[in-house]
Amino acid sequence: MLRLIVVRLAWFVPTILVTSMVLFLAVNVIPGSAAKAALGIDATPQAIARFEHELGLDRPLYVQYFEWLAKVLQGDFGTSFQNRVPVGPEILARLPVTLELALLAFLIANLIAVPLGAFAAYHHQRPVDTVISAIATLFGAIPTFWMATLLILLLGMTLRWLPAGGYVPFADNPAMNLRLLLMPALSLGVVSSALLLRIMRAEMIEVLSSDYIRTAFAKGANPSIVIWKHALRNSLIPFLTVGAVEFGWLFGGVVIIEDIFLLPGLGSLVLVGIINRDYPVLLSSVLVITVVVLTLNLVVDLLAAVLDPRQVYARSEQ
Amino acid sequence: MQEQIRPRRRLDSPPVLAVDNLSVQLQTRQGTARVVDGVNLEVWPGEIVGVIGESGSGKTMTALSVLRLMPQVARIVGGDIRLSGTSLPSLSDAQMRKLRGNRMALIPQDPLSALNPVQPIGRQVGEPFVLHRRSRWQAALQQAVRLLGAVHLPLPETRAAEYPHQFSGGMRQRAMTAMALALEPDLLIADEPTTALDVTIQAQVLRLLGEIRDEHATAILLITHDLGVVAESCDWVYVMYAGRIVEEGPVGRLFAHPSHPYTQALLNATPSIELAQTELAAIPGRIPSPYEIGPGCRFADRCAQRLARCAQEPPLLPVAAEHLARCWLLEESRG
Repeated sequence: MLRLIVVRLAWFVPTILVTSMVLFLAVNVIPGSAAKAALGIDATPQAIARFEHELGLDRPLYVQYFEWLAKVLQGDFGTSFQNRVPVGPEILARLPVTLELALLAFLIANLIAVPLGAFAAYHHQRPVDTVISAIATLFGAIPTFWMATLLILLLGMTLRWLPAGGYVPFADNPAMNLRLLLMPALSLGVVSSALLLRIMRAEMIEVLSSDYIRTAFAKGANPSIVIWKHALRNSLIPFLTVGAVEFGWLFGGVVIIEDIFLLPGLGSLVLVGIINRDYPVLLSSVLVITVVVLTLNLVVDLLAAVLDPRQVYARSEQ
Repeated sequence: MQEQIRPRRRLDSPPVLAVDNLSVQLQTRQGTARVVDGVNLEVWPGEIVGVIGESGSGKTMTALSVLRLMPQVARIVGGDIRLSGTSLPSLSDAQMRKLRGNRMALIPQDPLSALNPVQPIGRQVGEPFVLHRRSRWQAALQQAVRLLGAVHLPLPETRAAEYPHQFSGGMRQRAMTAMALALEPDLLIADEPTTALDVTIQAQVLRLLGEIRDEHATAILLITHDLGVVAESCDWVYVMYAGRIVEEGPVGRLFAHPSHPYTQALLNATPSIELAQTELAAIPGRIPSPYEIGPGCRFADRCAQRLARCAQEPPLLPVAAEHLARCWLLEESRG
């Protein structure tokens, strides 16, 4: 187990390094320029040149990259082109908002996907399975921003159950914080439950047809013991891997959702970074998101190893 | 000649298992198939009864019907199954659950896939105590260690904490046997328990079944396609072909005087030490599909001795006392 952790951690460094390079390239390849975004379209060529020279944007790309990387490694995320504010503290302040939103959305997605997927699998090829699968397909087909709009219309405007936007830190007012995050988390969670539900259902159908499930029934176990004690853990092992990918997707979906619900998270910072071509802001926030997603993948891998005694065994044999 | 009478049959009590004119149908897209057709069989206390036949003969479906663990497409359409006199098909699912693992238990074919890969062996072996006796897990685990010891698993205490992938094939089948034995059921159904094992381990598992029978007078229904297994361990044997019982009788008598051409062909197709030099006779043709069974004898297409009257299926005819075969030749020879 310890070996597994060490090996996975060792992979972390090159992964992040490559990611940072791709990021840096991508950001510089997109059309538009930081100077024009900051100074306006009417800026004179001289002003643009001065702006770019001051910020070092006129130097070769690789020089800029290594300079940026060296600073990031020292914990300096640079200052925003737009308002000359240090990016680091800004990200630190916004990260908890996004993390909470993504985790809440992930929780909702799983609370929908796992029981419904298992239930559909148990009733495989009966009407209830067809209905659940159809609902999952529907959920999966809805774009998150449209789901968000629908929820705001229904829960926010018509029923007036939930506030339609805004943010209060959890530490200040936990109840209000959760009320504010519930709708954005639902918009993301319901949509992302679709894929998870289908995976859960497929895995569960396969597990339920295996011999050890028949053994459990032959011992006299009732269906709920068979599903939750014998089948679930086996289905969760492959499910987790997809879950980690889905969590990465959630983090991407956060960008639009945070904007719709006026949440001061990393997602809206990314959006501002893109619109303003504010490279330090954009690069650093995406990098932080990448690290979070990679960390989660690591945790999932370890969790899968804990759930599956065969994996620990196979790896310790190597 | 003194005719052999089924030695463990008793007049004062019903058999542990009585399958009475059982028919099972599969409902699939291809249509309706009667995979078990009018099967009668009995298992008495302390008896090991073999059901032999090739794949598709309906032997496993018969066994699973007793436990009501058939695939979803299968349905019992006729007949009765009685466990010590209690009719099973009329019981509710909840009532069946109380019997499964408690008064009747299954030893499956492939012990690796039949064990849950993510649970320690001890937990799986001890589970019947939790399910049926409301034991606490700790007590159940102690029982599991005791049972693993009873099936001659070395170091049962250590082994109970291990997972199936850490066990060899023979050890897994011992663990499965321990699990089935947990609550000392009246009836053990062993579905090809030795098929996935190599020969030396097979002998150990069969010996173990014999021990269980001797110690607890357990009734054992042994499903197999291996005549050697039947010869080695069974008291009584039913030969199944295409959903029908085609011959039945005490093992010694049936092997000495196989009376159905299918049984004869099976015996000729089985290697033995004496016959090692001669060529094995494979049975030509294949078992008919259960979707296309006609009114005649189901073995007729493959039978070298078929008669005109085989277009009609014979009933089970007496060969000797308690030895029956479903073949017109028995009447022909009697003239």
